[in-house]
Amino acid sequence: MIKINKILILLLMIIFNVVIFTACWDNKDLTEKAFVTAVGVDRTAEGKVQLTLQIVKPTVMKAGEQGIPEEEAFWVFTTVGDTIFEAAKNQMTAVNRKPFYNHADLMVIGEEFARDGIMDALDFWERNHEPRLGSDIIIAKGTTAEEILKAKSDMEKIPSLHIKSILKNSKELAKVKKVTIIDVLKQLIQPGVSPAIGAIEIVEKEDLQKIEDMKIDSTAVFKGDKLVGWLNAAQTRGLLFIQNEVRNAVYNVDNPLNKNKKVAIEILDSNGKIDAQIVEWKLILSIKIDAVGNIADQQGKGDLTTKETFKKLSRDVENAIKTDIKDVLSIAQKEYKSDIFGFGEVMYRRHFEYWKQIKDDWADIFSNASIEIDVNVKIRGTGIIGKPSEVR
Amino acid sequence: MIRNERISPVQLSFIMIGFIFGSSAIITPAVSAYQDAWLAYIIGWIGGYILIGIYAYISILNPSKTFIEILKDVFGKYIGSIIGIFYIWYFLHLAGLVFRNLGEFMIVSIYTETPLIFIIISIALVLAYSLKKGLEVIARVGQIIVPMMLILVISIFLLVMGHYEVKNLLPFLEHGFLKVLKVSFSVLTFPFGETVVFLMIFPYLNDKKDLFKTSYISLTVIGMILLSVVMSNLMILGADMLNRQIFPSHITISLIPGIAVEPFIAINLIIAASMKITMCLYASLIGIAQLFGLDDYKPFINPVVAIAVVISIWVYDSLSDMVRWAGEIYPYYVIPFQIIIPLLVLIILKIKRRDGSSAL
Repeated sequence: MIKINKILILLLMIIFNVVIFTACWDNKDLTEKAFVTAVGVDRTAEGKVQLTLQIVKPTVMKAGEQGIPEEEAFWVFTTVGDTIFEAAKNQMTAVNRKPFYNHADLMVIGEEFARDGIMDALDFWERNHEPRLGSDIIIAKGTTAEEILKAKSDMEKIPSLHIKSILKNSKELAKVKKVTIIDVLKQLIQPGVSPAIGAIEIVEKEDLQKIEDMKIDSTAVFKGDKLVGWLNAAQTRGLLFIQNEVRNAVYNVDNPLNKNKKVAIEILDSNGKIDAQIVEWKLILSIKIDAVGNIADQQGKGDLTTKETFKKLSRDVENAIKTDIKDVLSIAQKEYKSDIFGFGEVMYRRHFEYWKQIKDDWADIFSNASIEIDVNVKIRGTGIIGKPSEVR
Repeated sequence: MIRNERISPVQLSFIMIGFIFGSSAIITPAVSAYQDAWLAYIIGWIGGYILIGIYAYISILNPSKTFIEILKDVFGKYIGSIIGIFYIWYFLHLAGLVFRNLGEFMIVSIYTETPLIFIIISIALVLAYSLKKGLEVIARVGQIIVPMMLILVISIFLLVMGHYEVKNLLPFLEHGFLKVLKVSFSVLTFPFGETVVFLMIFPYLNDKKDLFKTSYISLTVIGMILLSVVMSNLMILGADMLNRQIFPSHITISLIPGIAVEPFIAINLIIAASMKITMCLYASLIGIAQLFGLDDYKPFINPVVAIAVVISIWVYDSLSDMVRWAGEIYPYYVIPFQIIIPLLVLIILKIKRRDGSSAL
């Protein structure tokens, strides 16, 4: 009898538990959430914050109804508020589902907003538990984040995925500066370094804007958290070499054996290092790049596989890289006076006593410093053929 | 001795590992030493060996007595009981603090809309049940879940290895060595000094001669794991960010690309913090029973758990209050409990032994 009672009580408890422990307290079903894939932040003319959310449509309607050929798989909403959080909440007046930021992988910041300082946008991201700090961040050059997020994509159903894939291409082509929000935050709180963030710009203005009409090959230069200017593609490449973010790059140099023809050298790996040394209380800044390359494409005739041509080619590539680096150094030093390379950070880490004395004047010291550049390129191979095919 | 309960050295070491990991899985005071957090942590860790050595030695001198009984022996019935009451309060308070840490972490990082009290009470109910089952059951549970927790921690911190930046450890001693020492004292008191709770548990060990070995092995294991947690947080987030984050491990984990493993941190925390709270509550229950000369602590379980829950709600107004209190006041608050009284007890015990005047 007692045994049966025990079993009965146990059964009752199990049933009871099943009923009350089915879900979390603040449980929200998937169907009640709106998945945000990208967030855009702009400044309106009145000085308010304009927030743009790119939201995945949970059910993409099929073609046929009412003659609409195909519907987009995303919505773009824009609201305004004094703070980002308020704007995010105002969104709920128009969106019937609660925005869910855990999958927001991209943050686009409009140029106007960036000029006032991006920290106002990043605090929201850092403070709230849903957005992830590993998300990518990008600056909308000469336009608003809204324009960028409204653009459609032919390649991807969700346009922000398209932008993210382009950012991933930075591994393939050293013209794209990919940074995540946590990188930016770290650089902002780190003394002696200012962030540089990749920028997206519209190349062709069209009525139905597409991501394919945009490109990401420039970089936004910040001083503190305020946008001060831009780097072009070559300067971006120089910056990436200095920051040791080059995995693959292409340089065209003259064919040493055939006038007016070009040879493409593919940089396969590069090792960049910056250093700051103090010799007799004098500051010496230096950059050292060690790169390895291949001949990837040859125009014109000639057997390039000899030692002399290799030497000549590598010297040409070295000079080309040096030009890029000098270019970016001079614009950062003279025009923007912003240490985006982190020489100040090296000072702070390695020469802390010295840094303490100069940290207030660092912008001036940096902009007047002469920086030694040492580039070594080693050409290693010629692809799977040696000499080019000769046309007879 | 209240009940004839026995735990093995292996079980004790797992309990100790879970206990020390406790809330230090998510907050460690070491972060306020900035880049030198690792150094502050190591110094505190070494200090932990000394403290645990003292506690173990006290217990070896009185193999079958809990700390409350030892206090009565050493200071006499009345003074000893008064100090004992303070210790019971400390154990209860500690349980409340850990309850709050756990609850705050849950509502900040995962269950943002759930009331704090709901989370704390649901954990408290489970712990009350396990306390009813007694130390042997708790130890066996620990033997199963603590290794799981260790595997999770190790694998998580291997996953984030790609983000390590060694430069974050420089410059060395930016804020001076004094600051490091100060922080290392905080590390000593939280979590290592909190093992004073085990003075109530050591008598239940079935093999007393392994006491030193067991406690030192578990301290070494957990010390290395906590060191790896501190080091990876520091190398990934950098000193400033580490110092600003309330729960740095949570952020570090969220940087693992592709998969979201943040819940693992919460799982670890629930395992370790439950172990810690259980031990604190068990110690205070035993203490209450012995103080009043009862032979069973069971009637006190529900009221004591309820008091701990209430304390956990009362102690702080807010999360920032909790962080500040844990960093600035707690190290001084626990000095008598963790250092002065145990040291005094040990000295008096040694003197009494030498005199031979006591029949200990």
